Amino acid sequence: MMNLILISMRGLGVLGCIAGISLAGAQENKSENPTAGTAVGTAERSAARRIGLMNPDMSLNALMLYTNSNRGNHIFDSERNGPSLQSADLLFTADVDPYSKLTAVFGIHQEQATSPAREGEWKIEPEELFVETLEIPSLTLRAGRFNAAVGKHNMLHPHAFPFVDAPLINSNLLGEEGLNDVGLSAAWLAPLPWYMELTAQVLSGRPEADATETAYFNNGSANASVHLLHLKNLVDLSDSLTAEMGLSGIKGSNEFPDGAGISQIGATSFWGADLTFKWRPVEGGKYRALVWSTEYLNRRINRPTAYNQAEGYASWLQYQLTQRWWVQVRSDYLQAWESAVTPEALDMPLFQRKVSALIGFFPSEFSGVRLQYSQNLDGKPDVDPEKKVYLQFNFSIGSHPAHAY
Amino acid sequence: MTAGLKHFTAIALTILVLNLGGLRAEAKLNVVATTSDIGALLEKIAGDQASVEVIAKGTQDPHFIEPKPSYMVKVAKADLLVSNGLSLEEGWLPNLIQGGRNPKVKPGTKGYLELGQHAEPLDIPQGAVSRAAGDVHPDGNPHFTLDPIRMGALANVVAERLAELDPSNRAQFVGRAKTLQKELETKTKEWQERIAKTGVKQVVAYHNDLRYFLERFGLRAAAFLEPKPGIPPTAQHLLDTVSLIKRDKISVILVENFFDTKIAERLASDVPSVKVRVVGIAVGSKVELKSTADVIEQLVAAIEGKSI
Repeated sequence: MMNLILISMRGLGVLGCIAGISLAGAQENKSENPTAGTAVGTAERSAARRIGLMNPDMSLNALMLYTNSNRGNHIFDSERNGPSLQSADLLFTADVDPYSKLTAVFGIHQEQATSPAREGEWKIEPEELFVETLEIPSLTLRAGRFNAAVGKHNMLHPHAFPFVDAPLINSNLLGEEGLNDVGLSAAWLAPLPWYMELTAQVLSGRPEADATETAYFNNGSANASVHLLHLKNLVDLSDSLTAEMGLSGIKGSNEFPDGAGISQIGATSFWGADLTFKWRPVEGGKYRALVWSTEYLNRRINRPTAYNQAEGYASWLQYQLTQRWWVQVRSDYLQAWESAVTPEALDMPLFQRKVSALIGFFPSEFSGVRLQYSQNLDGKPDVDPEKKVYLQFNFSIGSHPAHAY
Repeated sequence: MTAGLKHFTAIALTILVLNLGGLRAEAKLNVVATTSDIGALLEKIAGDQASVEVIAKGTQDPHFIEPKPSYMVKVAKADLLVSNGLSLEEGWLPNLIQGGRNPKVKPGTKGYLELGQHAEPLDIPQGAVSRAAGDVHPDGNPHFTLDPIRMGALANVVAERLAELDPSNRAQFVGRAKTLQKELETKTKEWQERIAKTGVKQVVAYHNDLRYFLERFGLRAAAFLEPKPGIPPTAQHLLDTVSLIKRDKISVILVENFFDTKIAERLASDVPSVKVRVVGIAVGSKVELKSTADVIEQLVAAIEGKSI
C-alpha cells in the first residue's frame, strides 16, 4: 500500500535546497502524526489526520561537516581540522488564522572556541521568527526577525547554500551569519506581465551584544534604524530558461570612538546586484539542469575623517548530471581599501581570490553528501594560500516548506 | 505643494494606476490549472467563457515543478485556481499561492478548487507512514486523472464551481460537463472490451502513476522499475524485474515518458518477447495527446501491443 506514487514532490525540495537550487521543496506531512500509525479505521485515521493538521509543519535539517585545511591546525585560526556538527535548523511554520502565517527557524550551532584546545559553546537562537500577512492583495507585510532582502544568498539558510560555505562577499561584508535583524518588511508584486517585486524593509540596526568597532551597523544610539530596498525581476526566456535580476541598496549608521574617545556616528551603505539564469528543460528535466548565479556587493563605512570600502563578487555554476548527481564551481573575489583607517580596522585581508569546486550526491530528496575543495589566495603575509577540503552530510526530516525558486 | 509631497503624490498615483490595471474587471474568468490534465478538462468545460492557463506541462513530472515567480504572476491574476491535490503539488503550489498575493484563490475560498477531495482516492496508506518506504502520499494516490470515469465525474465538480463564479453561464458549463461525462463513459466501455480481448492482466511500469488506469481496466502492475517510489532503478532491482517478467510472462512494459527511457530499451534487449512502450501519461506529454480521452486511447493501444 505504500507503493504510492511518488517521487513526491516534495521532492526536489530538499534536494533542491541541498543542491542550493531551491526547487520546490515541501515534504508532505499530512499524516505524520504519531497516532496515525495506530489508527486502523478510516474514521479514526482521518481524525488523527485532523489532529495532525493542528500542529505546525515541523522539520529538522542537520549539517555534519568534516574539514581539512593546510591552515586548520594553526593557532591563529580558530577553525580546526576534523569533524564537526556544522549546524542544525529547526523549522516550524503554520497559518495563524486566515490572515497571517508564522514561520520560526531556530539555528543550533557551536560558537567559535575561545581556545584551540576546547570545544566552543553550543547555542540555539532564532535565525528567523516572523509573521506574514496572507490577505492583502499584491502585498505581503512581514514583521519579526528575518534575513534581510539583500541579493539572493543572504536569504538562504545554511542547509540551502549552493556551496558548503557562503561566498566571501557574504561572510566578509555582511558577516558570518549574514544581515539578519528585527524589523518590518513590505513586498509588493507589481501588476505587470512579468514578475517584478519591490521590497522595502526597516531594520532595527541595533548592534549585537558582542559587536566590535568594525561591525558595519553598530550604532547603539536610539535612532539607528537601517533602511533597505530590493527590486527583483524575473522573466521566462523560454519554458526551460529563466533570468532573474536583482538590485539592493541599504543605508544605516555606525558608531566609533574618535581620537579623544568620544563616540562619533557615520553612515554605512551597501549596494548590490545579482543575476541568475536557471535552465531546466521541459523534457528530461528530472535529469538535467543548469544554474548560473552571480552576485556583486559593495559596502562603504563612512566616518567624518575617513572611510573604508570593500567590494566583491561571487559567481557560480551548478550542473545536474543525472537524477542524483550535481557538479559545481564557484569563483569569489573581494577587495577592500580604506582612507585613513588601519588595515586591522577592516578585519579582513585587503584582497582575496578564491576558487571552489564541488560534487554532490543526493540519494533522495531528503539527504545529500557533498565534497568541496576551495583554494583561497588571501594575501596573508608569509602564509601559503589556504587549501581546504569539505565533506558535508545533509539530512532533513519532517515537513519542510518549499524553498523559493 | 512642497516638492516632497509632489513626489509622494506622483508615486502613489503611479502605484494606484498600476494596481487598477491589474484589477481591471474582465467578463472572462481567468482560470489557472496546476497540471495539463486539469487544464484540458477546464478548457472543455469553460469553453470561450474563461481563459485557462496551465502550470505543469505534460512533459514535466508534476511532483517536481519549480515554483517559478512567473507562475506567481499567473496566480496573481486568477479568479479560480484548480489543483490536483492529494499532495501532488505540495512541493510548489503553496509557494505560488503565497507569492501570488491573491486572496481570491486561497485554499478555503471559492476561488480555489482541489479536485483530489472529490476523486475518491485509492491507496490511502494504512498504518505508519515513513519515508523509509520512499516518497509516500499520505492522502492516497494522486494520479486519478488517468481514470476516465473519475474525470467524467470531476467535470461536473468543475462545472459547478465555474457556475458559482459566473452564474450567467451555468447552463453551458453544466451541459458541457454532462456531455463530456457521457462521452468518457461510452468510450470506457469500448476500451474495457478492447483490453479484455488482449488477455493482458499484468504489466510492468516505471512508477506507480498508472494505478487508476490499471484499476479501471482490470489490470495490475506486477512490478515497478523503481525499487521504491522516487528511488531510481538499481542494477539488482532490474535483474529481479527481468526474472519476474520471464516467470510471469509479462508481455508489456509501460515507461512514462518523463522518465529515463534508456532503462526500458535495455530491458527490451534483455527480454525480446516483451513489448516496451514509452507512454505519455498526461495531456501534452506527447504533442498528439490533447485530452484525457487521447491519453487513455494511447494507453489502451499500448496494452494491445500496437506501436504508439
